[in-house]
Amino acid sequence: MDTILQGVSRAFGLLASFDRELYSIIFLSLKVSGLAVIIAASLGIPLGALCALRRFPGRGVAITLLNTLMGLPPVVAGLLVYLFLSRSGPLGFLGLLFSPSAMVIAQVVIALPIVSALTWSAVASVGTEVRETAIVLGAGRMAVDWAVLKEARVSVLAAVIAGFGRATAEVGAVLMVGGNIGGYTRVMTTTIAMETSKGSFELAIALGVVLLSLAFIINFALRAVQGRGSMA
Amino acid sequence: MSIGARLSGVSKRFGAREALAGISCEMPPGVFSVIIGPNGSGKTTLMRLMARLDAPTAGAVEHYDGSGVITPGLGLMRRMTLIPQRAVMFTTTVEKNVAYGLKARGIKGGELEARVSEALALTGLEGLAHEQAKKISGGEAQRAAIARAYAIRPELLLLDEPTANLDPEGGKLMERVIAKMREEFGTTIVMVTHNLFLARRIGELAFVMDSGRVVEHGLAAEVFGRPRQEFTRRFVSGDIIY
Repeated sequence: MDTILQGVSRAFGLLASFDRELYSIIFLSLKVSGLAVIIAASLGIPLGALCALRRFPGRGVAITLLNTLMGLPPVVAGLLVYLFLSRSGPLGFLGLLFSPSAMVIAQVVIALPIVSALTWSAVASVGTEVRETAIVLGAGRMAVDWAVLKEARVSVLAAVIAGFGRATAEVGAVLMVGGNIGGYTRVMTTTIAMETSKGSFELAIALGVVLLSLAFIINFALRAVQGRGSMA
Repeated sequence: MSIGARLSGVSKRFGAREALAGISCEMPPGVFSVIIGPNGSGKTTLMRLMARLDAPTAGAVEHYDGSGVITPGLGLMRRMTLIPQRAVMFTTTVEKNVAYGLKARGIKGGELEARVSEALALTGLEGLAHEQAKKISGGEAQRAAIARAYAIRPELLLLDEPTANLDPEGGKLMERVIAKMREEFGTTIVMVTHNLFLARRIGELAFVMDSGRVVEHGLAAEVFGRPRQEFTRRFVSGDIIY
């Protein structure tokens, strides 16, 4: 118990003293996950919306695939990205392995199915009456789609936030493709894993507090947005 | 200009169920047509076909004006509209809901504002303009749907049980707005209703439906006053409870 209390006390000391190492790790984590979720949202929202709004050959397979990939084990995602980016892999020439870019790619692979599958579900759940209302009011095809997407906006935003939450909490894949190199690819989750294995808990607890706070802020923001969304 | 609708041998099946069975009829431009009949007789299906929300299984639904048959497409859709039994509001303000059809037609600026204000005033919704449309009552939403239709000045207005959610005052208001649309824009009206008194009072042509067929049609005064079919006689006299 003393170890935990000491660890917590030191953790808050590190946070309060604006420890350079701690904050560089936090900053890199947010940068990697933020970029990953922007890419995942840019691809995943149109993909999910397309599956919900259009009928095309292979649509059923695409939806099943997205739902399956939602449960993709991070280490498998890490393995795939590793194989593609390793020197002998098809993208090895890019020299991205063990870099923040590789970590972004791994997180995109993990977050993309979440964002797109949840977007599909959100848009598909908007009743056909919304679509038909837009049609009888003279909206063109794109405007009808936009009207449906707008009705699902709060749930789509929740999908993006869920993707961000999954990306920031991820450890296995980023460790495999990032390598946990201090000052270069070390992020919050990999640091927690490493420091815990060393028996050095203060930094791990400090980062745990940050991760928990981040989860709280994300959920708080989501509830706020949901509240506003229903009023917009 | 007003738009009419012509149905030739129109059938509509939903799986094994035949909702419409070879209907041929015409709702002429500028005329107020009412469609009556018991539940499940195919009235709403007919309206959806005329609104081009569904395609017939067989036969043809055509829209026409003084220049002839209008090619189906966005151009036609922007000349008509449908108010369903239960109005659907977008998740935004009442004002923006009323403006939606105008924006879809590329109308903006002063004209958009003027038309929205006029429609809101006509339906007594000025005070609710900035309220969330999802928060207003069913009756208010129905009035907002009428305002939304009025704002776009349709040449064909399809009304599916428009008074279902309205109190008597709301019903009168709807009648006033419809009368104004006919007078100002020459709008053709096709209305499905269970309100036989309303149908008799304001309809010019009446179509009586049963089991997916039009069993009788003609001038409303004659259909209600001197029905030719036994079914119509029983229905308009209230012997058939819908």
